[in-house]
This record gives sequence, structure tokens and C-alpha cells, in this order.
Amino acid sequence: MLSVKNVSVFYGEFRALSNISLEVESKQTTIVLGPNGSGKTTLMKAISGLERIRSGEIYLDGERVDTKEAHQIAAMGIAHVPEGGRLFPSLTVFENLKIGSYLPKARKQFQASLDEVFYLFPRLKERQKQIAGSMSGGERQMLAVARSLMSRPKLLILDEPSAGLAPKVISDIFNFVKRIRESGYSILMVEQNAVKALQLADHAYLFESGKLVFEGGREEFDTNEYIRKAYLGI
Amino acid sequence: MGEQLLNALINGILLGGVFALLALGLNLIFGVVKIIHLAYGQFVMMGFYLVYLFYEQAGLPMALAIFLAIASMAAIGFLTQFVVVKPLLNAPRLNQLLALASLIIVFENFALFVWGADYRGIPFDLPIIEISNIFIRTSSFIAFLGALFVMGALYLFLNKTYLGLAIRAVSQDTDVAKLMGINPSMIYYVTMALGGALTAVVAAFFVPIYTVHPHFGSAFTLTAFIIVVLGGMGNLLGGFIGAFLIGIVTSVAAVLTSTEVAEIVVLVIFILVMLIRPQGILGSGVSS
Amino acid sequence: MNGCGRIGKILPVVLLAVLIILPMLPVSTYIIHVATLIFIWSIVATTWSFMGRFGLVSLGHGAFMGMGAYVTVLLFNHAGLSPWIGMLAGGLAACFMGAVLGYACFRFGVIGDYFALVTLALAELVALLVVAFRGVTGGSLGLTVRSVGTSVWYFQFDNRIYFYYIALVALGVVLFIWRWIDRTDMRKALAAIGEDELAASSLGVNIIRNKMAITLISTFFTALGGTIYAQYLLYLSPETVCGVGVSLSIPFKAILGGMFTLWGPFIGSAIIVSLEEYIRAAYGGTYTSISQIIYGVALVVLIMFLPKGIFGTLREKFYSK
Repeated sequence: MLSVKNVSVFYGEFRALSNISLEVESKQTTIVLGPNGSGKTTLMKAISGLERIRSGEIYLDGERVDTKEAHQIAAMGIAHVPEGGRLFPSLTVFENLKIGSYLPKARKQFQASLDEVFYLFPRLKERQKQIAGSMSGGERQMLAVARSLMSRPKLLILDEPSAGLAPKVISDIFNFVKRIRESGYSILMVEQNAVKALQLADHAYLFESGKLVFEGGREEFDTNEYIRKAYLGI
Repeated sequence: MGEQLLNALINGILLGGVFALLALGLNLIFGVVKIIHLAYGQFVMMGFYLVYLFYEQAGLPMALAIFLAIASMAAIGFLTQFVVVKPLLNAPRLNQLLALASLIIVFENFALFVWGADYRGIPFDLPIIEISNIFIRTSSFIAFLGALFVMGALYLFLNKTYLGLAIRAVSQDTDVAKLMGINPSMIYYVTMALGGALTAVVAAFFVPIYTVHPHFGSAFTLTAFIIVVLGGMGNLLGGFIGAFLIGIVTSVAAVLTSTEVAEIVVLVIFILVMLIRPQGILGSGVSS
Repeated sequence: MNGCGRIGKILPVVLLAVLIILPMLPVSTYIIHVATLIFIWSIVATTWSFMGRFGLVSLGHGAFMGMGAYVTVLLFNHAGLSPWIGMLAGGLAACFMGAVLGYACFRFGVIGDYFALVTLALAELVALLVVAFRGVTGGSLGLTVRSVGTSVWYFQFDNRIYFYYIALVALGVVLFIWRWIDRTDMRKALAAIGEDELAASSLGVNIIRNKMAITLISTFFTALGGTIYAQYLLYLSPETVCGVGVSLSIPFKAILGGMFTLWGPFIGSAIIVSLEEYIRAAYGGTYTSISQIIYGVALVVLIMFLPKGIFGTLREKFYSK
């Protein structure tokens, strides 16, 4: 469904991503692992259009993506939940969700999407009128994901949804990613928490210093010596 | 004297209502497009001249004249975005400011060329309401109500419609707004057009109160900025409050001393507020 | 700034030679007049850039120019004080104003847009005060300097050429000061502050002291420029030496030429003043407003296509070769 081919991204002279190739299959959960600064977030931004790529191509269902503007890419069906959620701080929960359905085809299904989102995240329904900026970390993350779901995306990109959250909350986060996965969404998720992330993975990639160093299914990751020591703490 | 003060207070509030519209336009532009529209007062001036053009010179009915003026100013706002702001979106701040400052020269001299330096006014005879020694001009009262109405409409627009929400989203986080499928460029155009339209609305309200001349704009730009900064730049509610404060201070100071001194008082207050609380009454944190 | 090789060193000397002998050549007095105006505005633009090049963008330098001019002329007209002394008084007054406002701003972290708006308000305030005290200052109608014919002590000369050279020398002094600043530690400190104030302060740079220093220098010499302007034209008004219009035109001149370079403000002033005079001479009278519209449009176009100013852009091209 999503094809990333030989993508390189530069920040000035600094090479953030070197020749990355990656595939995301429809209705599957693909995980990208790696330490801080390995380029994972840069790749997500390259896919969603917030960063320009220097070379390579990105395709969504055969259509070229990297030559388009971010809002056009969103219209094609890619929903990116950025690191930290980045809600619109002075809009309410309801307004954040509403703006999530800004795209014309999403607007028509606003009520249906809203019902679905409230079913997945009942706490959001309670706090509809609350200002987004005043919610707790876990709730904000949930709202950020919910907001992206409102656009009825083909592909959901999650950038470190568990970052900076308390352990109890992290479990909640992974639980709801699991539920979204079970609802049939295609997910591309960046995570530092390798153990928990791999449990949800259909396929995974490992980044180090802007390069792709390993890829495979859950089994291959679990049985690889280097990965077990470095990332799974075994 | 007490009556005079009360009179000034009430007139100040009425004036504040219209100023609030002015502040609203500036705040929207600053919050969304993130530029300081130095020529905003000149836009108001142009709006005034346009009403004059359509009503007095072309003989159209007032309602139509005002409508055309609003449409024209919206178009001018749009054009300003297209010709001046968009090319400079990534330029250094100072260049943006100076480019807009140059528009001051362009608009003022355009007005000078087309309409000359004489004061132009539209004679309007509206009664004066008298309530136990307080005199309120009907025109001021209508302007006040009209301004409240427009603000109410804008409030609904910004809170209940998708486009309005999109505008607020872009002002808070442009990148994430893009991720929602919002085209920031389109939003900038809409905001500039809206800002332009608002100046014509303000001008329409000012028609029975003031006469216009090419240098009419400068006073308004500075006042508008003082209000906006006082309330917290980009903060719509702050601008609303600031407008009434300035309206009252100006009105009362003018009665107590003179119009000139009132202007000086406002400037001094502004400078003081900037030094003590630069983010304004409702602003949050100072950004550079 | 390092010269671009030998050209960079020879050119200014040649230019200086030309400027020195210019009045002796058979050129019209009008050209000398325009040149004098260029020098005076270059002084103000360059002193503005003392602050501007480090990110302390002031949109209110008209306040200081006006202060210098009005203090000097008022002291002369009403108290017979020599403008040379008055000039110092004006400079100090402007300095004081800049110091008070500057200190308050720097102390409370008022920077960027807010700083620009505060300075703008200051300029308007000065203009309004001049108008309000019209009994003393002549208000918006302006003030004429009491003429005493030619007198060195009273800084008036019937022969305009004296002003040409005085302005040229003053410009030289200001350019020298620019160079001098460039070599001090203060410059490094200010450059660091301009890039990242927080980082600079954590490295031990005294933000307030450095900013105050450059502000005092800038405002003082801007005021001197204002005095020379007033003495040359023997007339001043809020519109010509202070207020928003003047305050906005000053950074223009600096930026157009290249705000970060030594010669930039001079070149920018030369272009803008020449443009203004040309338009006035060619189209004056009926077509003043159209010519002003063209002028305004020209400014916008120039800003759009020459963001680094003419000199800045040229220098980039030279270096990239």
C-alpha cells in the first residue's frame, strides 16, 4: 500500500536519512524501531509531506506522494499523528475532532466517525467541551489519534505515541493501538518501546543513524541476537 | 462635569465597539498570516473612500454602496496577499514590515491622486438621542450595535464552521493544520480578504462620524496596533477588551484635556504596558 | 569586513577622491545639494544599522533624529546657543531617551516585533509632543532656523558647499565608527545575542550592557545627523525629521543597500534619495501623487527582489565567484 523507495533526506549538509526503502501492507501494522535521532521521525515527516526528500520516491497505492504538498497528501488518505500529539491547544476536544474531519469526504461521514471514535475512546466523549491543552498526557495522545481517525484515513502514521507517558498510561496507549488495529486500520508506527511495539507488529524495520539496518517479521526480531541484546533487553 | 464624564464614558464604549472590529481584523491577520499589517489604517481609509465613491459619486443606494465597498476591500485584501505578502512569507521579518509600510505610501497617494487632499464627508442627518442630559448620536449607537452584530457573526463563523475552525487551526499550528488537509495558502487568502472586508465595515460605521482625507489612515493604524498589543497580539478576546479600554480612555481623556493630549496619553500608556507586560492583558508569553 | 581583494581597497579611496573634488568640478549646485542630502541620510541610515544589523530593529529612529534637530534649533532660536553645543545637547537628549526606553525594553526582554512597535510608538509620541507644544516648536507647520547669514560658530553657511564637506566628514566619522565597532568584543557579543539570546547569556554575555552600549551610540549619532539636516535646510517639521514616515524610511535606506555591510546604508540612501529627487524634479507639481505611488511600488518591488539589499547581493555574487 505504501512504498518508500530509496529515500534520502538532508537537513542542510547533514544526511538524516540514507536510501531508505520500506513497505507498508494494507490492513497490517508496520513498526519502525531505533534509537533517538536515527531518523524515524524524519521518515514519517517525509511521508506526510512536512519534510522534503532529496532523492527517492514515495507511493501510496501506486500514486506518487513525495511531489505533493502536505495537505494534498492528507487528502490522499495518509493521516500522521506527530510526535507529542500536537493538538490545537485552545480548541476543545470536540473542535479538535471536528477539524480532523476537514476533508470533504470525511465531512460527510462526520457523525459516523464521531460515534466510532467515542466508542473507541469513551473518555473523550465525557470531555467533549474541555480545552485540549488542559488534558493529561495520555488523554491528549488519545485525542490526537482520534482526531486523525476522523479523516477516515487509508494509512495511520503514529509517531511515538507512548513517549513521555507514565507506565500505566503506556499500557493504555498500546491497548488502544491494538483496538485500532483490530478495527482493520493500516498502521505505520514509530516506537522506542521495542518490546511492546513488536507485540503488535506484522512487520518491522530497524533504523540506526538514518540507515535501515534490519527488517523482518516479529519472529525474526525476537530471535535476532543483536536485537535481543540492544533493544529487547534480553 | 460628572455628566460630561458619563457622556464621555458612554461615547467611549460606543467607540470601543467599532475599534473592536478593527482590532479583530488585525488580530486575525497577525494570528493567522503572522504579519504586522502596517497599512491597515490605510485600508480603512480606502474603505471610506469607496463608500464615498459608490454613494456620493455614483449615486447608488447606501446599502449597495456599503456592500460594494466591502466586496472591493475584500478583493484588495486578497490582492495584497497575492502581490505583497505571499512572495515575502519566508523573507526576514523586517522586509515584510517595510513592504507593508510602503503600501502606506501607495494607498495614501492613490487616494490623494483620485480624490484630492480635501476632506470628504458624506452628510448624514441622524437625530441625537438625549437621556437626561446624556447625548448619544444615533450614528454612534448604530455603529456600536452593528459592530456587536458583526462580531457575533464572526464568532459563530470561527467557532461553528469548518472554514472558521481551519483558520483558528492554522493560527495555532500551521504544520499540523496541513496534516488535517488544510491548505494554508488558501487560509491566508481568506484571512486577508476577511481582514480587508472588516476594514470596509469599520469605514461604513465611521461614515456618519468622520470625514476622510488621505492621511486619515495613520491615526487608525497606530491606535489599532496599540489595542491589539494591549490585549495580547493574536488574542481575539484581548483585542475586544483592549478596544473598549482604549475607547474609554481616549474619550475620557479628550474630555478632560484635549484630543491631542488624549492621543499622547494613549501612546504613553502603550509604551508603559509594553514595558511592564509586553504580552498584553491576555497574551501568553512574549514571542519574538 | 574584508575587502574583496584589491578592488575592495582601491574602490573606496577612488570614491573618496571623487567625492572630495566633486564640488570643484563644473557640476550643478543641484547635484551638490542632492549629494549633501545623500550624505546626511547615509549618516542616519548607517547609525540606524548599528542597532539593526544585530537584530535590534528600531522602527522609531525618527524620534532620535527629531530630538537632535529640535533640541539644537530650539536652543539656538530661543537661547542663542551655538548649534555645535546644541548638537551635543541634542545628542545627549536622544541618548537619554534611548537609554530609558532601551533599558526598560532590554530589562524586560522586549525584543523583535514588540521592540519594533515600541520604538514606532516612541517616534509617534515625539511627533505628537512637537505638535502639542506648538507654541514653542511651531507644531506641524514646522520651525525655521533663525538666519544669521554665514557663521561658523552658529553653523550656518550661505555657501552650501561647506555643508557638503561637513556632511561628508561626518559620514566618514560614522563609517569609521562602524568599522571600529566591527572590531570590538562588543560586536561578537551582539552577534551572539542576535543569533540566540538565551545561549549567549548562558555563556556569560551581559545582554543588557551590550545592548545599551550600541543603543547609546546609535541614538547619539542619529541625533547628530538630525542636527546637520536641520542646519542645512534651515527648516524642520515633524513630518521631515520625526514621526512614523521618517522612521520607516530610515531602515529602508539601510536595507536597500545592505543592512549588514559598511557601505550598504550609504548606497541605499544614495539610491532612494536620488529616486526621490528625480521623481520630484521630473514629475513635481501635478504628478506628485502618481510619482509617489510609483515610488511606493518601486520600494515594494525592491524589497521583494533584493532582500539582502543591493550591496549585500553584489557581495554575495563576488564571494561565490
